[in-house]
Amino acid sequence: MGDEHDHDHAHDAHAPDAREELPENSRHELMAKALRELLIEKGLVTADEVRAMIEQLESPGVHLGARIVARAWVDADFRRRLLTDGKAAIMELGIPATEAQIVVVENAPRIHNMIVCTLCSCYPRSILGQPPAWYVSGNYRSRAIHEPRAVLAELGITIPDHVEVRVHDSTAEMRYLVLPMRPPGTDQLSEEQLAQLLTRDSLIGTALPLAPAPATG
Amino acid sequence: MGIKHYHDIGGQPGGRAERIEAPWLYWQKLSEALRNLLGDRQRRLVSVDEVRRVFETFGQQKYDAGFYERRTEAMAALLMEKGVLNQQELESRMALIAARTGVQ
Repeated sequence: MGDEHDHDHAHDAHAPDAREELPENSRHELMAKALRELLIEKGLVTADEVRAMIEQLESPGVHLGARIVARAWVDADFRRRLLTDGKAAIMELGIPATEAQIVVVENAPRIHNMIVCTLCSCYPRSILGQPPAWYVSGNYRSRAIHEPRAVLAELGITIPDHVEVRVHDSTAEMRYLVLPMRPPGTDQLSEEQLAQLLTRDSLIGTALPLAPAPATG
Repeated sequence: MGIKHYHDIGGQPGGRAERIEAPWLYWQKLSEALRNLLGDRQRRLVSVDEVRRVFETFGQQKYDAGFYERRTEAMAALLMEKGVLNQQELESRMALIAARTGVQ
């Protein structure tokens, strides 16, 4: 180790991102299962604690992030508090954010925000759950900061040239959440209906909120 | 300019970003759950920072094995470092589970 990137393999821009996309690795599956058994036998954890923790890990999801943003769209005071101190405002909604700090970054007609963690895979887990596979992939982590528009295009959104793209690199202490712009034509929607327009990726900045369903009747 | 370590990949070239949604497998959840429990206030045995320290120094090959793979491997290494278990104990338990469940 120690040499700066002079490994002898060339980076092939078209190579699949093998780093993160290996099939389920049975060695590590066995390791995790063996650790569980050994730690239970040694009295360090109980089977019930493990089960409960898995359930707790599964419980956050986009619904929490969507609730936060939908509230910010309908409540200007909340929005202000959210942008000033993300964690405190999120806790107001009864969402137990465990991150040290959550910084909410607001999209605007000329600003599009996106989130990455180049050094590891920091992510607002207590709000959005586990990070998606592409977020922890080497390709996303390495390229998001120097060619964000290309990465966004590959993920399916084209940001016009007149819109500035701001990339936020997370740290262990500081996690980000994107506050997207409220889509036009949503004046009549309730807070719950607005929340339905928010996808996980719209809160990471790699997608835009869904368009409202056309009115019927 | 300091030397960039293998985990510090921001700004490097890379392949296409693909919107791949991989399922979150049971063993991956199990590994995360164990780490969370070992790092809680009551136990304070394995912190996230320690896990990072290990996988950022144990070599690129193990690092590149994957997100949950490197975290699991680092947690096991820390438990050995702290004398909670030893390599042989872990390997023989893995072999036992493999035999029991038919996992290769």
